[in-house]
Parts: sequence; structure tokens; C-alpha cells
Amino acid sequence: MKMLMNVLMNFTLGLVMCFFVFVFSLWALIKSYQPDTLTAVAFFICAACGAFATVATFLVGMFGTAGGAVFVVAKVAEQNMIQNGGNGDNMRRGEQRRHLHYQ
Amino acid sequence: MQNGRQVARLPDTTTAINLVVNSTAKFAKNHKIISGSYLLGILVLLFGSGAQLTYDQQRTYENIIRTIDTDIEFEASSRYGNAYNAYYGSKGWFSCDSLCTRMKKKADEAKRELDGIRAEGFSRMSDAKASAGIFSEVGVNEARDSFWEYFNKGKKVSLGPAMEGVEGVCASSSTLTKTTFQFAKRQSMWDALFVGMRSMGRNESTGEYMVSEKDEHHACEALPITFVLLTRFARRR
Repeated sequence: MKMLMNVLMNFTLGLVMCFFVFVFSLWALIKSYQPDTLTAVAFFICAACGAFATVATFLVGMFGTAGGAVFVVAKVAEQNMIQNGGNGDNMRRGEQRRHLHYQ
Repeated sequence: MQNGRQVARLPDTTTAINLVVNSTAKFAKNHKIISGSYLLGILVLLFGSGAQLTYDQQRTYENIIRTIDTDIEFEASSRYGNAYNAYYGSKGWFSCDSLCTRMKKKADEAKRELDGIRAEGFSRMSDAKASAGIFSEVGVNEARDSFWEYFNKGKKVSLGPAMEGVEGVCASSSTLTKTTFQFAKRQSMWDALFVGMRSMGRNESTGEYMVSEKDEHHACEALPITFVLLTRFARRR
């Protein structure tokens, strides 16, 4: 779980950073085409929005998959716990008794 | 309630999906600029392929591109490399004698020549691009390639003159000081490398940790991961 969180955080940081670096480098790319200001601004907005949409979709997909997987695992664990009923408690009590006996 | 204890129940799948959908809708309503930008971005991704070049535009673009002499730039770059190596070999740690000074002058001269040739190349490339236009397929593809370059190559981050994606002379430019690192992958690799080590006791050395019986299972988990990651890392290098 900790490892999963680490990977998610690393990818989030990496993608957000790559988005910002792309946006900063975009202006130089646009300038090399020598467009007028209005066209340049329009292209900048479109390209930045496109990049944002890609990064956001990737991140939402990644977090959604991870969250979904954790939810399913938790659900299965919960089902098992309900099916086993009080077995777990009985086992724990038995162990405690054994332990007390040896003391 | 279960055996006298309060048990927190997870919501069922339908309720969870509804919760996610409702939260998303609420977020979209409350943050109109973010959701609007996202929708615009999706539309741009779906339909923004760039205007196709006309025959005249294509011909002008190619004619200008053809005037860029990459051989001259390559020769100037080699000359600068040789001159810089000669200067670097002749200089001391904190001193520069007469031979070194001469070599430095030659290296500086070669650098100026190279910069001039590159500036000329950039200028011609810029003219060629201007003839195509930023919203043409050339401009859109270049921006797209630039983005995917950052995105795919392990979240590559380039600092310095941002002239990425410029073909020809610009691509071979060695002066573009790039500080690249594969952030997410590398960071995750180091995390995976040290995840086993974190369970090591405070007063334990690495050797003790590796052979100690109580932590045998940790070492058994950590070692194969460490070995695999180190092998992979070495192979990449």
C-alpha cells in the first residue's frame, strides 16, 4: 500500500512537472513560427488545454484504478470477515488461554 | 454491530460509483474554469490535427529547409569540440599559461563561429515554419511531438533554452544544456530499493540485518528486488 502510494505520488509529481515544463517551453516553440499575437495566444491556450486534459485524464485513470483496486480488496476482506463471523475472535481467545496456561 | 463491536461497513459498489459520479459532477459545477479547460483540451485532442499545407506552402517550406546546410554546422561543431579539448588539456587547475590562453582564444573563436552558424540555421528554420503557419499540421505535430517527448520519456524535464522539437540544425545542437531525469520511474525505483532496508533496526549494520534470523524474511524479500533493480539499472546505464 505504501509502495503504491509512493508510485502514485512519484507519477503525479513527474507528470505535473512535465506539464509545467511543456507549457514553459511552448512559448519558444510558438515564437519560432513568427505568428501574430492573437494567433500565438490562441495556439498557446489550445496546446496548454490539450496537455492539461492528457495529464488530468492519465492521473484520474491512474488514481481511479488504484482506488478501485483497493476498494475491491477491502470489499473482499470485509466479505470474508462477515462469512467467518466470530471465528477470528474465538481463535484469539483460544490463543490467549493457551498463553495463560503456559504462564 | 458484530459480537458487541462496532464494525465500519464499506458502501456497496453501486453506492460507491454514485458517490464518485456525484462528487465529479459537483466538482465540475464548482470549478468551471478547470472543467472548461479540460473539455476544450479534450476537443483539441480529438479534432485538432492542424491545417493541411497547400502545394505552394509545402514547396516554400521545403525550399527554405533545403537551404540549411547541416554539414557546415557539423564541421563547425567538430572544430569547436577539438579546440575546446585542446584548451581543456592545456589549462591547469587554477592557472592558464600563454599556451592555454592561445588555446582559449581559438576555442572562443570556434564557439562564436558555431553560434553564428546555428543562429543562421535557427533563423532559416523559423522562416520555413512561418511560411507553414503555427496552426498548420507542421506546427501542431511539432507541439504534439514536444509534449509526448516530455510525457513518454519517463517524464523528461529539460531546463535551458527551450528549443525542443526543432528539426535539423536545432536537433543536433549540443549547446542546448539539457538536464534530463526520469523522475517518476527513477524515484519509484529508489523507493523500491530502500523499502526492504527501512525495516532494519536502529543499531543493526547492513551485514547484521542481512544475516540476522529475526529479519530473515525481510532480507529474503529485499534481496531479490534489490538485485533485479540493480541489474536493470546497470543495464540501462
